[in-house]
Amino acid sequence: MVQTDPAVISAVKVSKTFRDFWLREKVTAVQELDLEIGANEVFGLLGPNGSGKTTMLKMILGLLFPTRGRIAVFGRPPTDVVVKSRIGFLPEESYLYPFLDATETLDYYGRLFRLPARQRRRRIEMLLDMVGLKSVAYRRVGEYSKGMQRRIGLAQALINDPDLLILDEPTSGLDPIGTKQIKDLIRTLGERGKTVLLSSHLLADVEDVCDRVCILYAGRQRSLGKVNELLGRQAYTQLTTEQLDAAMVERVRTMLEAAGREIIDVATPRDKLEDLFLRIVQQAQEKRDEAGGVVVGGEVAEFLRAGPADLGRAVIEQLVSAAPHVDAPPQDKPPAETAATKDEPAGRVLEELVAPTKPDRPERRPGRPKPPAPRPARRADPVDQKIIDDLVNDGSEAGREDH
Amino acid sequence: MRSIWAVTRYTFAQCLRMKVAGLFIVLLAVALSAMPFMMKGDGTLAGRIRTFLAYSTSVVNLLLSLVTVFLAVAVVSDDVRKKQIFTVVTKPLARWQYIIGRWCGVVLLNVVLLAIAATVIYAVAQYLRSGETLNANDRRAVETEIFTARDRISPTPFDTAPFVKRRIDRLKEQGQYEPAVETYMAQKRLNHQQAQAQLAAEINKQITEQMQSAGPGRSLRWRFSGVDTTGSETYGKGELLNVNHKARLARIRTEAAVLGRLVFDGPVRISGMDGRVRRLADSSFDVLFSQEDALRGGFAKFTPGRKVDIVVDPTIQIVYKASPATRLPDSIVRSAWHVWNPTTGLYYQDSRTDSSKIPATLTVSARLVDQAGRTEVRFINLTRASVTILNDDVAVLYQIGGFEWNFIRGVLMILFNLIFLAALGVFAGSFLSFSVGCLLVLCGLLPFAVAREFLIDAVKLRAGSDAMVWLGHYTVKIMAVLLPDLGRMSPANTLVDGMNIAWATVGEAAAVSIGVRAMLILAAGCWIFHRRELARVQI
Repeated sequence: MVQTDPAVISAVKVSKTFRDFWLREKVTAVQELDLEIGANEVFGLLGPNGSGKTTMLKMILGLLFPTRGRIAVFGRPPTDVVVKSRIGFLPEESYLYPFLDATETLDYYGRLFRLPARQRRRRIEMLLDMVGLKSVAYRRVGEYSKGMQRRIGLAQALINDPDLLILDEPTSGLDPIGTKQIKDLIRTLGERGKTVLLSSHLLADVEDVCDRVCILYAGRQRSLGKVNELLGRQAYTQLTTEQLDAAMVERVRTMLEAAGREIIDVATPRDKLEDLFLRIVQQAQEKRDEAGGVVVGGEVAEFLRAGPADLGRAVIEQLVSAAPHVDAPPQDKPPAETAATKDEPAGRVLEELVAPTKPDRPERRPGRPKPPAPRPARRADPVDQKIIDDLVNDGSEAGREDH
Repeated sequence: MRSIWAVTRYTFAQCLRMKVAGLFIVLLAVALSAMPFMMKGDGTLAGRIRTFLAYSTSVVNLLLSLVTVFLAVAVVSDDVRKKQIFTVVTKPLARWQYIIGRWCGVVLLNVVLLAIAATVIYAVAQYLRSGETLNANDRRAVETEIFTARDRISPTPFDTAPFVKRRIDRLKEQGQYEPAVETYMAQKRLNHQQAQAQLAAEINKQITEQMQSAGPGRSLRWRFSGVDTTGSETYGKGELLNVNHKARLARIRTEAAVLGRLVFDGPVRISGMDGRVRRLADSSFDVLFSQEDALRGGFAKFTPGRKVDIVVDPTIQIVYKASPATRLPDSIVRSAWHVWNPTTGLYYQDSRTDSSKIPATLTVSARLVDQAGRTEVRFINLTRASVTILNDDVAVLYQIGGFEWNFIRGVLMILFNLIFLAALGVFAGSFLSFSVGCLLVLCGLLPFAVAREFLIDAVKLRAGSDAMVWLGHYTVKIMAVLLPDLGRMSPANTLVDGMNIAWATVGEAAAVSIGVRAMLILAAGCWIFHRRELARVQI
């Protein structure tokens, strides 16, 4: 189901005040917040600890009721049961039943979504594969490490193939591989036309996946806009070339000075530590070193990858699953390739799958370039820092235009 | 429905995996296995079985009630406290469905645990039943007073009106009536009419008391009607041990269930021939055949070792409690009892020695009841003191069903009780933390379980009641509607006495306990839970 209504979530002047037992006002967690999140959007709620992100998410989920204002999800009140069947939610910690094992946990939530038994079983298998917990599927969730619980939490949020995915601090407690997987997943879902709302204070994660962000501080909205517009520094141009010696740099400087431009900085770009880490793990995996608990997760589960082109598949899925292992329809990838690509890193497989599906979202950045392109020097940081500094200092409108 | 079932199913699994359910099973096993050997009762087998049934059903009831309350409060309040509720209510599951699912899960657990407990109790009771009895009376008590389901008929009330009238007429003749009325008017500040009524009531009371007491050598008489024993014959098999053709006697070995239903001189049919019971022993009895049947030839074929069919006529029991007016030296009430069929005139008499003020049972053949269900009983006081048997202390009991179904009905009563408690627990968990929720349930229930009548009486509205009494009155009234009388719901005493629990009683308990009380409380729980902000921190 693809949502045609432009506003998936609309919040109008929402405020939330917590009162104590004697009804005295204690904390105003959210103040007069307006939010409009459309279909097909990856939206980030940003802010330091205690800025009202989670409170806002809980109001959108109907776990808290706004003191003032109105919230509608898919045009209905958040407590509406029909609305909930289209939502997937990952709380800030995975609150799971410790006495159930991974399969039972997913089965329970699948039942709450009234998924038919066969579909439920198929999805559980695919999701466990995706989050890399297949080998521990029959261990009690209570015995899991925090990261493993997080993975199960993610799996339960996806079991209904949600139209709206709400993730509260999705990458907390996850290793870089898990983090990357979540980011890949968010991108994939975004490309499929799903709406993703996530809250985080890990700015790099948000920057990598979000189309739009809203920055909250002390319950108020401080900044709202497209990530590209907020972060793009239109006044500057960055060139990346093969290594230049000092003489060559001097020549370029002279050339630019002749054109009335000035070089501001010359630096050797560095890889992100994340990329280095992922590369090392990938190499280890290729050597087939045994991992202890979590097996590095597989690719995004098939039912989550299905593009808008094959809408009827959700229905057909059950019928098809009667014949075992008719996993991928031809337009996704030919069966012959399945075996060949199986051991490839998740990102690359994902990229191949995702690339042709969504022509209407050209501005989205690709997953991961094949030869890892040199990142811009960490000069990007001052921009992020500026925003935070501004809002920490005076809480006034942070630089929306000045960058 | 499917979502509710999912919650129910996983609640059941949760309860099983929580140690509480396991602990219950262990405790129950220990309690039940130790009980029959620890308790000797009064030395008779009947006493042992009674003690066992009373204690085991009470223990199971109490244990399961506690388990139910704790689990029901925990399954909801823990979800909120540990925030697992976040992932559950954000699924397409209405909050009332969650509450109902949780309740059903606890009920399902109760059904399973109760079924296990009931099976164990039943098995142990049957094992005890097969044990050695002290004597034939003991065996009869086991079979006809415990492993049965009996109904109770009280005597037709005395019509005191003619006696009252006669007494008043006599007073009037003697010219003492008006002075007595005037005394009442003066003493109690009544008008003439009220004083007359008071006097008549006083006379009525005296006459009623007189009619329930018999001086030495005097008798008391009761009429019973509505006794229906059709279809309560006992069928069994036996083996001829000894046959005396000349004396028309046969000794037959048979099972305990048949032996217990035989009464001395009571009618019995052996392979189609009428006889009377002569001697009752632990595993056999003697039958004296009628001359007619003995001559007809069937009896001639009787040889030792032959298998025979036994049909025992139904019996009725007269239970009574005799209280002597003065202390008797040996505390023994001696009496003669006559029971007769008012239509056929069939007559039975027995002399008895009973401990005073202790209920006693006299078992007689149901042929003493006529087709209209009437029988008459006379007690003749053979002690030197005057003896009182109150109308409420005498009754005819007769079998209307078997122990098995009665036991099942008793277990159902316990189950309904537990279903209500589960609703109460889930309700408390819907807005309170575990400890406070348990406290509320136990404190709310206990006064009503222990001292219901007292509470209701204590806050009765009287002229001049102040606001506090009004408040108390209506609080107690509402609580009395919402909370059941746990004592009355417990089937322990009824089962121990071998009294029938009517399906109507079971149905009424189901309707009131589940249909009204549990539903009202669950509705309140659902409403609160629906209105509640589940992400609010609760202390």
